[in-house]
Amino acid sequence: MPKLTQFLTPRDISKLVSHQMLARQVVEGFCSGLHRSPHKGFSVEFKQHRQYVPGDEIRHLDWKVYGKSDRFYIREYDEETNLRCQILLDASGSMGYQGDDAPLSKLEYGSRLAACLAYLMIQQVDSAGLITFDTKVRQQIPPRSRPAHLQQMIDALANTEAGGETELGRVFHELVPKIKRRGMVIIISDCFGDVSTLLNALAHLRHARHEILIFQIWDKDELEFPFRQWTRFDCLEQMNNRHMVDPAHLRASYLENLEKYREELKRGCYRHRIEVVPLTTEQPYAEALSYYFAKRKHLG
Amino acid sequence: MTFINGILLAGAAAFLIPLLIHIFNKSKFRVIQWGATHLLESIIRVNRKRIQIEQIILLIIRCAIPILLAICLARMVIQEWNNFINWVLFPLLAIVLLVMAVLFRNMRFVFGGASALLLAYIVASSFGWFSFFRNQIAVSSPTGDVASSTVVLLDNSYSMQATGTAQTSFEEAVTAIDGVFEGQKRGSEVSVVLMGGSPAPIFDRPTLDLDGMMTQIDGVKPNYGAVRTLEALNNAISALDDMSHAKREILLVSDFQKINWDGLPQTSIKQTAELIQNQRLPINLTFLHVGREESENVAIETVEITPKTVGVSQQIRLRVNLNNFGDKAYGTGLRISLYKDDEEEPDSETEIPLGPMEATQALLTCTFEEPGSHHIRLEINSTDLLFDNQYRIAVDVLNSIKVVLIDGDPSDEWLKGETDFMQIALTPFSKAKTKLKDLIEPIVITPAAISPETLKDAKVAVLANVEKLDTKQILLLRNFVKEGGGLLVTGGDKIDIKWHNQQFAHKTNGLAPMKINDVAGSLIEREEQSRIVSQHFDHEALELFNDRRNGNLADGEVWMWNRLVPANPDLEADAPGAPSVLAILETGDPLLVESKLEDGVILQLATSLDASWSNLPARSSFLPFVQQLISYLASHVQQPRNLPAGHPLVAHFEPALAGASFKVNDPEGIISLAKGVAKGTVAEVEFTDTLKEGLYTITNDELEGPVHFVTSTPRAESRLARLSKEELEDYAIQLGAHVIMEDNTDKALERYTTLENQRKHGREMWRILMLCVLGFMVGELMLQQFFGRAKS
Repeated sequence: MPKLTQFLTPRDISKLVSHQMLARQVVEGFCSGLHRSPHKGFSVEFKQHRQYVPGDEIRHLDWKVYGKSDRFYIREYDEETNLRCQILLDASGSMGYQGDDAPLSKLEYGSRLAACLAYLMIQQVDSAGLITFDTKVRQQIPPRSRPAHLQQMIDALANTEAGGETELGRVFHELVPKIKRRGMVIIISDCFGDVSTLLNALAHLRHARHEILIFQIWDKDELEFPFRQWTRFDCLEQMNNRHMVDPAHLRASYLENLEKYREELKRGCYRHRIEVVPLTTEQPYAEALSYYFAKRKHLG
Repeated sequence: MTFINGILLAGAAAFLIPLLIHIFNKSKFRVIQWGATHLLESIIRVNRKRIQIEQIILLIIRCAIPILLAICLARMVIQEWNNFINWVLFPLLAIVLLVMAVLFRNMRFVFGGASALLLAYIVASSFGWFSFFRNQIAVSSPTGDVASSTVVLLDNSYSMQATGTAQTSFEEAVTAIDGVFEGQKRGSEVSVVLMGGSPAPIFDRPTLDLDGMMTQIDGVKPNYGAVRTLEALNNAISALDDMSHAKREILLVSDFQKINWDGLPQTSIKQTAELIQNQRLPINLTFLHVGREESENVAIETVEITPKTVGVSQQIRLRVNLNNFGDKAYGTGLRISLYKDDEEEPDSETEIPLGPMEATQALLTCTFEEPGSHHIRLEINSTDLLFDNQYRIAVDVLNSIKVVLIDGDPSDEWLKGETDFMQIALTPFSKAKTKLKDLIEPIVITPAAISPETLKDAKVAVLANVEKLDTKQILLLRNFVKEGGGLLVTGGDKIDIKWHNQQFAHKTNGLAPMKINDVAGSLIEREEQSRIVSQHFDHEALELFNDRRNGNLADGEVWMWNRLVPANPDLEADAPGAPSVLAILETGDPLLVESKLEDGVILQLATSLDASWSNLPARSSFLPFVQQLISYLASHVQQPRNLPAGHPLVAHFEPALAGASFKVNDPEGIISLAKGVAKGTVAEVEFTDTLKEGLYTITNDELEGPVHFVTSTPRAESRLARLSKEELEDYAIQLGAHVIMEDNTDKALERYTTLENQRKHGREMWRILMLCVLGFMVGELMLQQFFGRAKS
């Protein structure tokens, strides 16, 4: 069984522990007990009974009331709301790229980042859920705040392998109804694909009032395009998509294209108040996270 | 279009390097599993065609650079612009247009179209379909603008001494050459070949130092014999092979004497003309005529000296052959002066009348009182061409010639001994009790007395009717001959024919060139007797008898003789040591036979020297006959002192002087050093630089006095007849030359410059090509940068 330490070094853990994530939104309180949530939930403090409707969890049935009234009632408690965070990890083919000098593939890096986030959240008694996807949703672990939940997520992360095409837009549209509760959505992806579709989907997510944070994972090669000799670029997502080119000739155009794409994405996200954090696989993710969280804190 | 260093053209194959790199790169590609395909795809889709074109252009430029560089290093030379424009400039322009088409996308159809049109034109013109440059545009390379390689053929034959104006022809030639050199561009190289006698360059290698060359030319004197025109031209053509510039010229500066041209075989002229035409780089040949026509000239053509071997106080007769080539008559007489050695006052003078176009002979005599090497200078008091107004002769005056007469049939009785007649013939003055001194000093010995002592200092030995000799004696005589001695073997009744044939005429160890078959003739029967055939004698020893005044050998009767047959019949007639018959009897049997053995000569006479077998001793021709034979044998020991110019001087000295240094003073007073080399029993000094006519002296402190040599050139040029302008132009047409025949040097130089500017020359194109290479290299760098730049 994969252990947490497989993904995080003690140094990473110690670093992350010192950070707390503060939700910007009132509703989703940052720390346990600091805020009273306007939402109802199943927690310690009883609020009211509600009539059972099919679909409610049986374990929440108040058997005593049933014994008394022979009716199914559900006990509802005041929820001490924590951040409900969904980590969306892109496991598409393009995430499988690993440059010659890179220590990890983008997916491996993303997995580790997801593990970090999950750990951090669960440490803060926040709920963390994980959704891996490529063309469609591959695996979905709903947000929980139990420490044991972390292990489940780590297992899922360890079993995630790159494959399939990226269709962030469609997947995100699909996900909107699945992420029922408002919370934070952390997208770990390279965000490759059509920017406008992606922005549409993000807008959709945003519309569902989710706080969205995108960790855009880059390999250094993708940013610098350092290739000199003749190269055949085999697409990681489409088997027959191959391009034989002299990369030196294309570099400038590529970089310009890249810049254009990044700028477009950045602007789009900014419009939707979505933070995009570019990370390269060489960047120590823990440090990057720390830097990001510090900045986030600044933003209030 | 040719190349000076054609071999370097192979370097153009280096264009394969960028090509191979391109192919190699394409085939040795790397595979990358790429994620960001969406970023790549769009630019590939947009740029694929452009990139392909850019890569082709870069490849063309990269391939063109080594090709251009190779052409540049191979030193391309063009003679007319057509090929250069069609094959070099237009393709380059097409490439440039192609680049422009890529760079300026708005105008790509204009530039691309122009490039395609240009390429189509190149292809079409290569098939000869049409060409705008049908009329070849000659490359102009004006003198002073382009460095050139010039070979100047300078006529320094003695006819150039002729003075038509204030200057001699030679001085005019030097002024003209100076003018030509001054007009040359810096970096031009020249070679000057002196044509007189045998053509010889002043420096072995071409030089860039024109001033230095001019200094050398100033020192040249026109003292050489007639010009060998074609040989000199061929010499100049091969000299041009070593020269480096594309503009090549041969400038022949001469007075164009008829004698030097009229005898030239047509085939040789044709060959030389073809040689000039077939040169890779064009050669421009110019005939620059200098001097004025001058016909008045009296020349001493030859001087004959008798006798060949001269003794102290012996009268030397010099027969001077004079020729008047002009119209001037010397009615009062032409004075001929004879100067001995370096004396300033003439030893004797004579005056002879000489009519126009007339040849005559004059006889002068002189004697030398001191033995040793002397020289005589003969001069005539004519004011025309000075060179042929004098003639020199070197004379070796001997104290005496020791001749050992080995008498095989001695007798106490007067004139009965075998060598008695000969003794008288050799010492006519002392026998006649006159005051005159005999040169020859005969010693009579018996065969038994042959020893190194008796042969010491002897120049000639005579074996007269000797019965036999032992092996030792034969060996002794062999060595005597080998070292340069002369041996006369005469016949007679005493000879042991068996011994003679088996030992004395032995193929390898013998001495006599002929075996004795038998004894022919009869003392009594007149029918069986014979005479010497009266013929023209070519041999030096007998040529005296071609003049009947010196006696007729056919007068004498030969009653008996040894019938001689070659000792070694297998020997080829012209092989060394092969016998040659000098005189024959009417019966066809050889009378006098000569053979050479190393440095010495052997003469074999078939009959006896006394009066027992012939009446020759009683004839008037006997004395000159014997004298001639002995003089010939003795003179052979001596190296010739009078030589044709160009022949090496060889002098023999005491063996002790081997390794010693000798000074050789040439006619212009230039002193050279020569080393004595041990050769056999002598020290030999050889000096080969004898093209100048005149007196050469070899001196050494160990020698008693200097040894004189005289070289003479044939007086072919004394008849001062030049080619007329028409004749000269005719030869010029045959050889593809231009003629410059002007009244004065300035005009000639002006004409030469005009001619030069009009003529078709090879011109090196390396500057243009190097600029192209640099342009392409810079262009390649810039294009690479530009093509790598992002295109929106």
